[in-house]
Parts: sequence; C-alpha cells; structure tokens
Amino acid sequence: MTMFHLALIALVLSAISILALCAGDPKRRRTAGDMSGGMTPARRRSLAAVSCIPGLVCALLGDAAAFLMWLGGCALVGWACAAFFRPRSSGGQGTH
Amino acid sequence: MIHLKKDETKAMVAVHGWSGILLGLLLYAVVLTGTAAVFAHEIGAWSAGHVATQSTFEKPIDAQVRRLDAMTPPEFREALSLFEIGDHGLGAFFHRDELDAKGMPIERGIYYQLDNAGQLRATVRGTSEEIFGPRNDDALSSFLVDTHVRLHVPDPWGLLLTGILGLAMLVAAISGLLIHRHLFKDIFTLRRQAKPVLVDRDKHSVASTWSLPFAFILAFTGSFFSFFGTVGVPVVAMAAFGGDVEALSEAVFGNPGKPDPRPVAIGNLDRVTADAIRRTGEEPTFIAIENFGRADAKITTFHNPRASDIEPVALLYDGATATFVRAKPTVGAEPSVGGTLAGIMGPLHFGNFAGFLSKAIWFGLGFAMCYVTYTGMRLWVVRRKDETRSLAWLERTLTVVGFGLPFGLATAAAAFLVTMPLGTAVYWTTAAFLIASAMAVLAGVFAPSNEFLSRLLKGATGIVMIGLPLLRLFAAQGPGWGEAMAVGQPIIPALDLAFVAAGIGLVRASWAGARVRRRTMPVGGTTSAA
Amino acid sequence: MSSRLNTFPHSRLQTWTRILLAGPGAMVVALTLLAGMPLWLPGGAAGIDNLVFPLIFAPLIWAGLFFHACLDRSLVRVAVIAGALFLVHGALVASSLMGKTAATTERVR
Repeated sequence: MTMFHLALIALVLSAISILALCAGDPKRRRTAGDMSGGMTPARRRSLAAVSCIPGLVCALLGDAAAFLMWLGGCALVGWACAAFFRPRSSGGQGTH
Repeated sequence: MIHLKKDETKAMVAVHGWSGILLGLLLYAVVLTGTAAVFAHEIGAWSAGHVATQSTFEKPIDAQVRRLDAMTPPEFREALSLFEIGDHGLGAFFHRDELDAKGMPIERGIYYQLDNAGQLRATVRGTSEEIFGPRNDDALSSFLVDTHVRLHVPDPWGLLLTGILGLAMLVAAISGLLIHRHLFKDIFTLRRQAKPVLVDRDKHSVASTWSLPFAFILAFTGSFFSFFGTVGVPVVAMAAFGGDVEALSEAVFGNPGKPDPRPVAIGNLDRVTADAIRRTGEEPTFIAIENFGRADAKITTFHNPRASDIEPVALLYDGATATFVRAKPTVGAEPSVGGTLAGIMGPLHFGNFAGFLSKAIWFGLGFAMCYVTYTGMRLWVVRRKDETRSLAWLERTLTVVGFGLPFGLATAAAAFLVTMPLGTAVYWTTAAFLIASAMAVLAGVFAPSNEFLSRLLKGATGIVMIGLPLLRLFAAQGPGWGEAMAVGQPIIPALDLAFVAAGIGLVRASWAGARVRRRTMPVGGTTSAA
Repeated sequence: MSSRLNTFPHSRLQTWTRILLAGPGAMVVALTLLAGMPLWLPGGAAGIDNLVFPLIFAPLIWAGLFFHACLDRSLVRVAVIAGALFLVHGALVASSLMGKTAATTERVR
C-alpha cells in the first residue's frame, strides 16, 4: 500500500466517524430546532476515539506524511461537515 | 475545555482580541498570500505556460556547466549552485563567500540563466540578494511569495514584521484555546437564527477549532523562518562563535573534511545527477558544489522527501571523482534530533512533502486560517458596533482588505498574463496589484454601504477570475488543454477550471446578496446606509 | 508592595508591570535564552543540537514567557523566574565572550 492509499483510506474512515459525530451532535441539533437530544456523551466520546484510530495507525506505521495528511484532511472534513449541516434559513443573519 | 479563572479568562480574551485586531489586517495579507503561495510553482507553470516535459537534471548538464565555468572569472569559482528555473531551464550561480559592510556573510558572483534547450538567456552579476529577484516569466509567483515572506518591505524589516505576525498568530491560537470553554461541544454548531454576534462567533470558533493544530504549526514554523536569519543566527553566532556567522553556518550545514586546495577539474556532473536520480527515484531540487575546481570539492544533491517521510533527502558526492560518498541529513553532518527538526520545518510550513495531495490539504488549511482571521476581526468590530458608531470605518477597512486583497491578487495575475509576452511583467504585476488595491480603497470610501462594498468586491474579483483562463490562452498565448495534457501538465487545465469555478461562485454570491437586499428593501423606499 | 503585586491585576501598577513583563520583558529574556542556551545544551549526535534547538524553539520560548507573565497570579514570581533566567543565561554569555576576548588577546601577545 502506498503512502497516498494509506492517507486516503485513513481519511475516509475518520471522515465517516466525523460525519456521524456531526449528525448526532446535540448542540447542533438543538440550534436546528431538533430537541430529540442527539448522541449521548459516552457514544460521542467513543466515536471521537474511533475517528482517531486511523491516524494512530499511520503514526505507528511510521508514515509521517500520511499522518500529517490525515490530520489536515480531518480538519477540513470536520469544518465542511459543520458548514454542510448548518441549519437552513430564509433570510441571512449575521454579517455579509 | 481548559477552565481558567474568570479574571484569567478576561486577560486572555483581551490578549486574543487585541493581538488579533491590531495585527489582523497584516496577518490576513500574509496568510492569504501564503495560501496562494502553496501552489506558487504550479501557478508559475500555469501562468508562464510551461510545456517542457523533462527536468533539466534529467538531461546532460555537464558540458553546459563546463562552458559556463570557462566564462567565469576565477574569483567567483569558489562554489556553484545549480537549480531549475522557468520552464525546466537551468540556473547556475558561480559565487564566493564574503562579508558585507555589517560583517554578515553574503554570496557574490555571476548568475547564468539557461533555457530548457541549453541556450544562455541572461547573465546577472552581484550578490545573492541583488540578483535573485523576479524574472519576466516568474513575476507572478515571485510576487506572491515575496508578499507572503516580507510584505515587500526591504530586509530585515520585512522579515521581522512577518516574524512578529507569526508570533501574533501563535498568541492568538494559544489564547483562543485557553478561552474557549466548550471547544468540543461547539465544534459543529453554526447558528443562523441568532444574534449577529453569535452567528459571527460560531463562524470564527468552528473554523478556528478545527484548524487549531495547524494554526499552531504554521505560526511557529513561519516565525522560525522569519527570525532565523534576522535574529536567531546573529545571536547564536555571537554567543557560540564570537560573532562569526560563517563558522556557525559551517558547523550546522558544512561537510567536515581535510582541506585540499590542489586544483582538480570537477567530476562528471551527469554521472552525479544520474546516480542521484537512480538512488532517490526523482531529480534533484537543488545541487550545491563547494570548493569547485579543487581536490576537496563536494557535491550535495537535495531531493524531495521519500514516500512516507517528510524530511528532504541529501546525497553527498566527491566533487573531483563524482563518486557517491553517503546520504546525509540536510542539516548537520550526521543524523541528529536537531538536524531532523530543522529539516522538517520547511515541509511542515510549505506542505510540499507529498506532492499535489499534501499541497491541496495545506491550501485548504490556509484558506481556513484566512477565514479565521477575517471572521475574528469581524466579530471584534460587530461586538462593538452598537456601542461605538466610530467603528464603521474599521468595518469598511476590514471589507476593503478582506475582499480587496483577493481582487488585487486576481488583477495582478491578469496583468501578468497580458504583459508577460511584452517582457514587462515584473513591473506590471506589482503595479496592477497597487492599482486594484487603490480602486478597492476608493470603493471603500464611496460605497453607499458596507454590504454594497462587499458585493462589489466579490463580484469584481469573480469577473477577473473568470477572465484569467481566456487571458492565459489568448493574451499570454499559453498552451491549450490538449497540448498541456499531452506534455504532462494537467495543472494548466486544472487551474483554469479552478479559477472559473471560484469566479462563478463569487459572482453568484454577489448576485445573491443583491437579490436578498432587494427583497428586504421597503416598497418604494430607500434604505439607510449600513 | 509585594502583596499588591501578588493578586491578579486590578491596579494600574499591576497592569503596567504585567504588560512590561509580558512585552519587552519576555522579548529580552527570550533573546538572552537564545544566546545562552547553546552554551549549555548538549551537542547531540551531530554536535549541532545546542545550536539548532534554541533557533527552532525561540518562538515557543517567547510564547511560554509571554503566557507565564499574563497568567501567573503572582507578579513577583513572574519577575523572579524571568530575572533568574535572564541573569543565568546572561552570565553564561558574558563569561563566554570574556573568555573569547581573553583568548584573542593572548594570541595577539
């Protein structure tokens, strides 16, 4: 497996966990008007730990390049998830 | 996340806010140009229409170097640096080390610029600071890099300024971490239906939380690079070597060995490059030859990191015999913790350790940091807007810089494409940036509202960006997509598409803002300026 | 006086003392550490760690001093730690420079 494959696979696996965390995030759901409560703290912590495993594997394999790309990619995925799952509204609030 | 006491939090909020608002505009300029500069090499290839297929080091260079050596006065043959320039051309800098008026070591010599056919295109004499300026074909990428590294302020002040901005970013990152009590609870929350201050706060905190590790890394490595030559080296040299900077440089970067000044012709360089490519799997990014023409000559080839690694590779050759000696670290004569740390500062900052993928990720993170800087300043202004009407000018200034800077950079790119065939790109790239910036400032002064200003600048930037591929093709007579793909330059169509997509996005955002504005206007009335 | 400096800043004196320690104070101490650390850090496998580590970690050293000055409730402690670091490393640098000057003078004789 090349470094690129390792980095991409690690990123995709973590992205699934991050997506699940975002979908079940209690505060995000509350602000979107969904009072169902979202994920329990224990489940969130487990999922957060699971999302770190692919990066840990990259680090343990000594693949520094894959680890850094995984870390940076996760940051972008997380931000994108937050933006994508932002509650829709009819008019713009905030600035610009 | 980290629970400080109330007064400590208050102090950190003050540190975070004031460091951000006092230096934020300049920091935004550095971060934005740095984001673009991640792809400086690719932008150079796109803008100048590079179509050469082979690296200069994959072709014979020995005969060319010997020809240049014969033309070079003996006093400049102490050392030779070889590197690629332009469209796989060869840059050769024959030089000697000397001290300037302030006692700082410099390199003085002759810089030959050859094209990819081996023809000598230009010869420049002077010190390394004088001669390595922008050329006509790389004026755009040089402009981006120079703005990022020193904001076009002369050395050492430009480097000191960007170093201070790096420290400010470090302070903002650490203080931001300390003041945000619910880092993970808020990590996915971007409210829309809330007070403007809360909406802006969410935008800022979500982006900054996700990019925090990289904000730290980029601030730390950036300020390292800025302060290394201006403050670090002189101070360490003063303490450890009695002020002898050359001795420090020799200790850290030199290759120890017994001096042997007997004149011996340099070994076959083609043998060296072929062997280096065979050992590492790719061509050198730089070749340094010390004691050129002597029995103790040494040749060091520098290469991108191997797969899975981030530290660049350096191979050492005997200069007289062109035989491989050993692989060595880029810093220090032997592998060491300090050498490795110093060696990875570059890859960590530039994101160039794994080709296009790592650069794309670093570009995204750079964009995140621009967003964090901009939204942070907006939050500071919006929080105080209701209390202090006099901050309206600051809000406009923020919009002028925030959206005027991309407009200026896009206009600089357009000017480069138009003037490169005329040979005046070096002047007009910078001039166009300044003219566009002045136009953005004027728009800031005369726009009826901040919202209008924002839409105007977004729309203008979008229109210029959509036009860039057309200018590249017709004004700069650049290669078409078919030709670019045939020579293995997919970056040319990729950047064309990226500029068009970004341009369309900006024009749409500007248009959508105008539609919302019209919908919220009272019927038959006018609105008051924001 | 020390009790006034030992609580988190409320008075003008405390605020300005803290600003001076976190601002120019942290800068001066960081530069002194940058100069002094090569004289006692081990050289490492390549004999360069003592030169390279201070160069690399200078921004973090400054940040550490800055945040310590901002957050430590006791300004006296901040001043003592910064002062001690400054004096120790300053003395190391001065001693090294005087030693080099003496050696040069000896060679000239």
